[in-house]
Amino acid sequence: MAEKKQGTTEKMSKDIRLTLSFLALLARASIYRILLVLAAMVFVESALFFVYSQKADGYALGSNFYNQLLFPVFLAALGLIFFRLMWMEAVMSDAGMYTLQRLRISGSRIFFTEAFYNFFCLLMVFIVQIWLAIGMLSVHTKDTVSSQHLFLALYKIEFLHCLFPMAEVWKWLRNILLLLAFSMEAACGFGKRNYVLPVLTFLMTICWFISPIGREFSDFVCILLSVLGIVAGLRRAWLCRLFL
Amino acid sequence: MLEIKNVKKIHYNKSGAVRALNEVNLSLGAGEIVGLFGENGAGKSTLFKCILGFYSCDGEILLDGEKISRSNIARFSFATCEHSFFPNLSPEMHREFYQMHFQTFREKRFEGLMKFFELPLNKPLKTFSTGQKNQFEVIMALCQGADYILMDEPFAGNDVFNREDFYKLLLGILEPEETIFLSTHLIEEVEHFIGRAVLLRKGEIVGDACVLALEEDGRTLMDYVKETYGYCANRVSTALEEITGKL
Repeated sequence: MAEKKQGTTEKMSKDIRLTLSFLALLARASIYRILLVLAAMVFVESALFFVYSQKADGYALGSNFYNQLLFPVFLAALGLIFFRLMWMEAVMSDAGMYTLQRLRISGSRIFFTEAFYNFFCLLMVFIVQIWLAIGMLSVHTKDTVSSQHLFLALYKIEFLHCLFPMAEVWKWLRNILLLLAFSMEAACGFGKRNYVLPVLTFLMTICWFISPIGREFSDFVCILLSVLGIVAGLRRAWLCRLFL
Repeated sequence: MLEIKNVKKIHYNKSGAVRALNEVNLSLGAGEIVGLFGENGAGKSTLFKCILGFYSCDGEILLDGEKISRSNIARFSFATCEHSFFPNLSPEMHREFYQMHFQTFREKRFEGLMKFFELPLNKPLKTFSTGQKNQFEVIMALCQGADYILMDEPFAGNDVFNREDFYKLLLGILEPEETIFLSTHLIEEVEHFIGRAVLLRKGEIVGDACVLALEEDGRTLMDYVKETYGYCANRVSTALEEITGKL
C-alpha cells in the first residue's frame, strides 16, 4: 500500500516536472519579447503622462487622458502580446508538433499549460497597467496616493474602473472571462479557420472594454463572446487529447 | 522488434480517397539498419507517421508485442525534413528540454555531433541554414536515446561531403541495439551504410532485400531498385526523340 502510494507520488512529481519543463520552453521562446512590449507600454505611457502633466493642472488630467490616451496604448500592448502568443503557438505546433507528440505528457495538458502561460502573460499587461495608472495618480497629486483618492479615481475614470472594477462583480467576471478567452484562443494558434474568433474577441475589446458603471449590454456581449472563445479552446483541448 | 502487420492508410482529400498504404507487412529487428526507398508519393513518410501514431491507420503496429502509446513512444525518435524542433530556441535549450523528457538522452553523443557539424550552441535554430537545420534534426534523433530511429529524408539540402562523413561517423557511434529506419532517394550513397533495403511503390512493399546478399549476387542496390521498379533504360532517349524530333 505504502509502495503504491509512493509510486503515485513519484509519478505525480515527475508529471509536474515535465509540465514545468514545457512551461519553461514556452517562456524561453517568448518572455523577452513580451517583457519588451510591456517596457514599451510603460515608456510610451510615461512619456504621454510627462507631456500632458506639463499642460494640465490638478485634476484636469482626468478621464480624457486615461480613456483617450492610455487606453489605446494599453490595447496596442494587449493586442501585440495576444497575437504574438498566437503566432508563437502556431510556430511551436507547426514545427515542434512531431516532438510534442512524442512526449510523455498528454496533448490536453500541453494545451492547458500553454493557456496558463498565456493567461499569465496577458494578466501581466493588466497588472502593469493598473500599477502604472496608480503611479501616475500618485505623481500627479504630488503625494502618496491616499486610499480615498484611489477609490474615487477608480470610480470616476472609466478606463481605470474597467481595469479594476472594485465592487462590480459583473465586470470582474467579464475581465476574467476575457482573459481566459484570449489565453485559450492564443493556445489554439493561428490556422486557416482559426482567426475569426480571436479577431472578433479583440475587436470587441477595442469597442466595448470601456463601458459605464452598471450592467451594460456591451458587458453581456463581451461575456458571451468570451464564453464562446473558451468553449472553442476546450474543444481544441478535447481534440488534442485525441490526436496528440 | 517492430512489427507492422497489414497496415492500410487512406488519405481523404478534395479529389477523393487516395490509398497511401496497402497491406504493408514488415518486421524490423533490434540493431538493423534499414533503407526505405520509393518514388515521391510512394508512402514512405506516411508509413513513418503511422508507426509513430501521428496518423491513424488500419492494421497493427507493435513494438516488442505492445501497441505504440505514450508509455513506449519515447523508444522512437524521428528526424524529418519537415523538422521537428522549436525554431525560436537554441540547441542548448533543446538539449535541456530533451534531457528532462527523455531519460535516455545521450549527452556525450550530442556534444560530439554538435562539434562535428560545427553548429553553434546558443543561436536560435531559425537563424540556421537549411543544411544546419537538417543536421540538428538528425543530431536530436540520434541523441534522444531511442531504440528505433526513424529518418525521413534527413539529408535533403546537405552537401555530399557532409553526408559521406556523417554516414561513416554514424556507423561508428551506433550501439548494437539501435535500429535505424531511413528513407532517402540517395540510394547509391547509403548502399554501404544499410544492411537491408525495403522498396515501397504506391503504398505497397514491392521489394525487401539484404544488401550483402545482393553484393554476393554481383548486383548493386541501384540494379535491384531498377529491376524491381521495371526501370526503362531507353526512357530518356525516347523522350528526347519526341521533344526534339531528332533520332
